[in-house]
Amino acid sequence: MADRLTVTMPLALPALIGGFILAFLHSLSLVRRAGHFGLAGGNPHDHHADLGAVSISAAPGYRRGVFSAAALGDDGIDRRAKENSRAARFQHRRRQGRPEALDPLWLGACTGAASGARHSVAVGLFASLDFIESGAVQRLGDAPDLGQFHLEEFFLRLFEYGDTQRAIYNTFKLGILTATIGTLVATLIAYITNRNLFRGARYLTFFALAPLVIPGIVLAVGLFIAYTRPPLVLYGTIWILFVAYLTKEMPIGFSQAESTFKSIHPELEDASRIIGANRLLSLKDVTVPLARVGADRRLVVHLHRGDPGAQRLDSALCASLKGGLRGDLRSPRRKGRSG
Amino acid sequence: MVRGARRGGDERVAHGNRLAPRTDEKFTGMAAVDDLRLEIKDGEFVSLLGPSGCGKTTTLRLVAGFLQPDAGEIRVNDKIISSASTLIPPERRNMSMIFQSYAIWPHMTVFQNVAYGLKFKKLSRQEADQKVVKLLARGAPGKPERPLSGELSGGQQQRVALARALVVEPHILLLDEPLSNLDANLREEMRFEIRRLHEEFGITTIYVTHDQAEAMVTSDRIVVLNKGRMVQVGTPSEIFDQPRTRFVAEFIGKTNILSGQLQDGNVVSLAPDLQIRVADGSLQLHRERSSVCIRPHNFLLTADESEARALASKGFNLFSGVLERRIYFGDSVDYTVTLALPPVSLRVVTPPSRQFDKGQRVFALAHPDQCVLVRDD
Repeated sequence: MADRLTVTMPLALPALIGGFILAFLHSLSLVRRAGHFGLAGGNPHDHHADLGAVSISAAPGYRRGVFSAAALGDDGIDRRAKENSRAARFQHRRRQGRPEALDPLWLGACTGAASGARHSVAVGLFASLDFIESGAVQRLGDAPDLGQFHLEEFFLRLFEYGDTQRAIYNTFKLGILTATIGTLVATLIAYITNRNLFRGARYLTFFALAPLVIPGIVLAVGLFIAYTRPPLVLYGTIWILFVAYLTKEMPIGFSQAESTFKSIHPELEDASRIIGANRLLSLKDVTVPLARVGADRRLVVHLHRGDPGAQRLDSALCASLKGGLRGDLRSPRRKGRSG
Repeated sequence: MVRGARRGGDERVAHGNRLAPRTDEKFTGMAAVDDLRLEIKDGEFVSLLGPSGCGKTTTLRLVAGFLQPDAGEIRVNDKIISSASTLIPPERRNMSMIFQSYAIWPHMTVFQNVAYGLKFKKLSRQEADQKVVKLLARGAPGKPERPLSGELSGGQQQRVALARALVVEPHILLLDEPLSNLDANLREEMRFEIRRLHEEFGITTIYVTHDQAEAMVTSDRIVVLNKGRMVQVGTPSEIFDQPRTRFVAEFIGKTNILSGQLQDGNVVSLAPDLQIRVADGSLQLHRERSSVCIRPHNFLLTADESEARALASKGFNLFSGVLERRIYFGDSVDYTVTLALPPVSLRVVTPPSRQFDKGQRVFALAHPDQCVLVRDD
């Protein structure tokens, strides 16, 4: 016990304090999400939606609300992302020759299933709301009619409404792009900084981790200012979302990649270089096979953390739902009834 | 094959007047390696010996090409391979290196580990396999095709690392404290194994260690480093028997250092009534304040005053004192003798056949040839 107090605790304390601060900040963001949910419930005209495509943390309240309500929301993914830092330990065990504790494909399948379930819950919630709403909108004085409950508007919005179709397409496009390029960029930066490939390389760490401490709204405004004027005008296009999500998720990908490279002793690379392999071959034959597990996990986490397409899908559903309530987008059956 | 090819050339590794990796100098404001001039002959086994942080691994990594000096140069066969403006990458230096951590690739089998370097040698698959099999047959740790998976012990990993380094037939072999992670018995066994392999293959070898016993067993020459500087270079016996500085004397084995004033001739005054004669060789190097190094096993210890006087009359230096401590080691006995003047303690090691009691008045005698004048650092 004395050892724990005098040795273990002082060593673990910085990490514990750091973890506490992160958890605290995270819990604050959850409170904000709950606020959005309340706001969205009370006022369907969500002001945050006005920030449009450049909005990152100030996302539409409906989306946040629904995802907060869904048990398989961001929190689970966040937790998984943190747990993913264990990748280094698995790799360490692997290098020590112990059996691999967690297969990356298995992890990918599980998290993929979780993500699918998460989206299903979100879509299911929207479907339920539509179903209830369709039956609830009845003329005063009419007798209750169970036959009026239907899912016509839901199917209309999901499968026929153009914005939803585009959102579904964006879901996959942005998700896969962000995850792939995010993983590659984070891995590259982590490799450069960890192996100190050129003078000042370590300063890249600052840039990779900066989005972690910069508030989302500040980042959003920064992106807005940067990309609304030449030479690169991205505002109003889907690519600003790509840049935004890539920036925002970079710290997580970077920290995981860094821990992966830290766990691979540089002497393993040196050993191959001194007997004839150049840096690229050394990377291919030694570092990549050892870092592969970590990279797989980073890709999966990026795919779920970024998940930008899902947010677009969500936003589109919210918009269509609001449109439905206001009468802009209603099925012919309901239009006829309300008319 | 290696021997023939190597002996045909005039292989030398020469260090310029100042070698310092840029990063270290940048951060500490001082060079990690400074004023190092060393020429290594073809086929020679040279050890870099020194305490932690003295710059020996930095020197090795400079030679390997993992670091670039910001002054000075490193040449092999008169060709500059490293300087402030030139850096031939490690893979083009025809060197091999064995690391402290072994650096065995865990995702490869023993066979793959050893065969990896041959991929770059333009050999046929059959030739490469034959070379690997031949080398592994000499001391292979189990079945070479099995995955490593941490099943190999430290000694086995070390053998794989050795095989991997030798199979590519390097011109220069670099060893960075390769035995420091082994247990004492295995370390002793591997010292002889490394020396045997050197004699068999004849590869020019630079060996980094902080263990003087390893350096003594394996090396043709030892380079003692301290604070990034070369303190002394010599054969193991020169380093041990004729240390030039107090640091070398104290770092290599146990020693007694007595401070005094150099008189005319080869006499050093330790106290007003105590003068000792020292070996002739190093007198011209030291003047005025000097120290004398006497190894504990170079003393003769006796409790018989007449015997002591008789030896003193034959030129032995005589110290009288009281025996303060006695430690029995089995193959020797380590005594601490406290002198009255100067008030210092001497360590004296004798064979176990001659034993003395604590508190006994004794006489320690040392021949002038065993008393070496050293420079204070």
